[in-house]
Amino acid sequence: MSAAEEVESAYSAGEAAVLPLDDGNARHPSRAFLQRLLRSRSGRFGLFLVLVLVLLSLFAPLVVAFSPLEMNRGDEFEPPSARYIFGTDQFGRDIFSRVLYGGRISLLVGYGSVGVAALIGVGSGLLAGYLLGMTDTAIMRLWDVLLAFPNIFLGIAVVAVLGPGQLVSALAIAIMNMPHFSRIARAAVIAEKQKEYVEAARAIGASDGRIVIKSILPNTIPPLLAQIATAIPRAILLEASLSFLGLGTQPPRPSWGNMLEDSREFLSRAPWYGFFPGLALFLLVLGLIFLANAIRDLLDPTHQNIE
Amino acid sequence: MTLYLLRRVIELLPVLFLASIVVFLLLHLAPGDPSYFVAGRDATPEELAAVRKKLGLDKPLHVQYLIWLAEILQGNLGESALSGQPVSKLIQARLPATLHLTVAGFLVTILLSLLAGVPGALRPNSKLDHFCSAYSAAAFGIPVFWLGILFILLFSVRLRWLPPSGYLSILEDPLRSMRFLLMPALTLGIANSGVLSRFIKFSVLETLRQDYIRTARAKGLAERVVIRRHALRNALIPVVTVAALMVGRLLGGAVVIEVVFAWPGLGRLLLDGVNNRDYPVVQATLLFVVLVFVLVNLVTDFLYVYLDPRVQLERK
Repeated sequence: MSAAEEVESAYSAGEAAVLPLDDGNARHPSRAFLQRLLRSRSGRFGLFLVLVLVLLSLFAPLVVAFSPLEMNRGDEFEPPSARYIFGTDQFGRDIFSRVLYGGRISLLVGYGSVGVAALIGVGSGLLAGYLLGMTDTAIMRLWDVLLAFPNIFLGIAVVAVLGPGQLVSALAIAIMNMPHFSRIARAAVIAEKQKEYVEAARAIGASDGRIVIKSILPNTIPPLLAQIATAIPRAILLEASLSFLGLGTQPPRPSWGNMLEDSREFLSRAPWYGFFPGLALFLLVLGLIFLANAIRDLLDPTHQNIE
Repeated sequence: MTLYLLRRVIELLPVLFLASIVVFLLLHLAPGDPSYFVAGRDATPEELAAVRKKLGLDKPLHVQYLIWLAEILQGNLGESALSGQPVSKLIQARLPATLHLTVAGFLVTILLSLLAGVPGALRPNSKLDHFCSAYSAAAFGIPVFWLGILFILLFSVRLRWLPPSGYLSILEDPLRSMRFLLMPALTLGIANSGVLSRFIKFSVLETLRQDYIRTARAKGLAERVVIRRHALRNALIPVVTVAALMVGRLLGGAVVIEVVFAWPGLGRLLLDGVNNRDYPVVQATLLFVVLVFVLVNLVTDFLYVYLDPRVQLERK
């Protein structure tokens, strides 16, 4: 592992050990996992924060009194009050409503881009690790090149080609995440391939595809789960950064990043304008980090001694 | 040792080569006529024709790439499509501001990471440890642009202590320069200390578990001496090299911070380039950033081998 990856793994779990997830409750491994997650303080705190924000965003239409795009004339720059609990912006739009609707974009881009990255990353990693040779070299070189661009610069490069927008920024974030998933899957395949059960499967005549999907893939799930958990808060931060730079979600559609960008013009006049979207972003990311740490601890108990 | 280092240098060449292809293709993947992007919006048909000839746009793509690469290797990064100025001049003009920001941000990162990382490792599960851990998590999760805005709200809008934006070279007027630099550097430093402080904590904890620490304690050394002379010194070896790698993160963070504090650095140059579809500027700046990042990685690897000769054997 290079020093660069060591830094990253200080907050991620590229090497989480492969361990059974069930707790003597073999029938419902996911339920057992959740129970153990709730037993850790970090897991409870993270889950609480994330659930509150996810539910508020999801049920935004039921919670808010104003549409996020509705301009209330005469109510420009209203400070937080009973009517507008987070205040209003320069067009008299309800910031509370915009924060909740903006959360949907953060969550969608965050989960969506990591999902796509995991799918393509894992697929290519399995292929590279199983076939090795030229395929492996080609795929891994491609990821090396992507990793030569420090995080946000790759996003900027993608936007430079395709133009700014929500979908483009999601695509950029997905591309940025692919190398990490691919490397984990590849490492897992190479480690598993030499084990006896794979040889046994091959001996009874199982095809390559069947061996990878039925025998090897399930064993890569714990480290991948940990990687997904750490990639999501980063993806959400990146989406907000790109939107803040004017490269992601475009106004008038609200996203936390572009609200913060808009608010800069009115800092002394309306300090609440940028405060609330930033706070929501911070709390969501914090919750996701705590959740990721708890998940990693469950998957890799050697970390637990340290925590 | 020399062999290992040589191999690392050789390994980097294909990466740089491929990265240059990616950067080259940016211009050609973008929808529209590349000559239009390079010549600028108000280019006359004659100017467009001249650009086409210069870039060799009528030639096959790989020939175009070689022409482009040859120019770059001779230090000719092209001219801005917007202002017509040589891009190398633009980068030269913006580099000092970004250097100020990243160097100061780096120093703040190291300082805060040591302060937040070491005490927690020395007294695991103490109140201090919990406080430091909470700081690390918060610093890691806080959006850097929000932190910058909060600082401006507090120190510029409310207290009126520091200017909300602007830049002055430290060579011109060190004291006034610091007033401009303080908030951006602090913002960058805090945001990066989240990861590094955790890394330091794990590194110190790991070192404290080693046999030679037990030996040092067993032979009756004072705890202070054990920690200072044996534990910290060894624990900080990986940290020194890893800290150098923060440069990549610092460069990324700097782009956002330059926007928050209207800091006239490379990040703003790149963003303006993207917004104006000024491809020569975008290509050159990206290439420059990749080169710096890859070189820093290389230096880090050298440093690692130099500081910890065991690494070399493991990596062979």
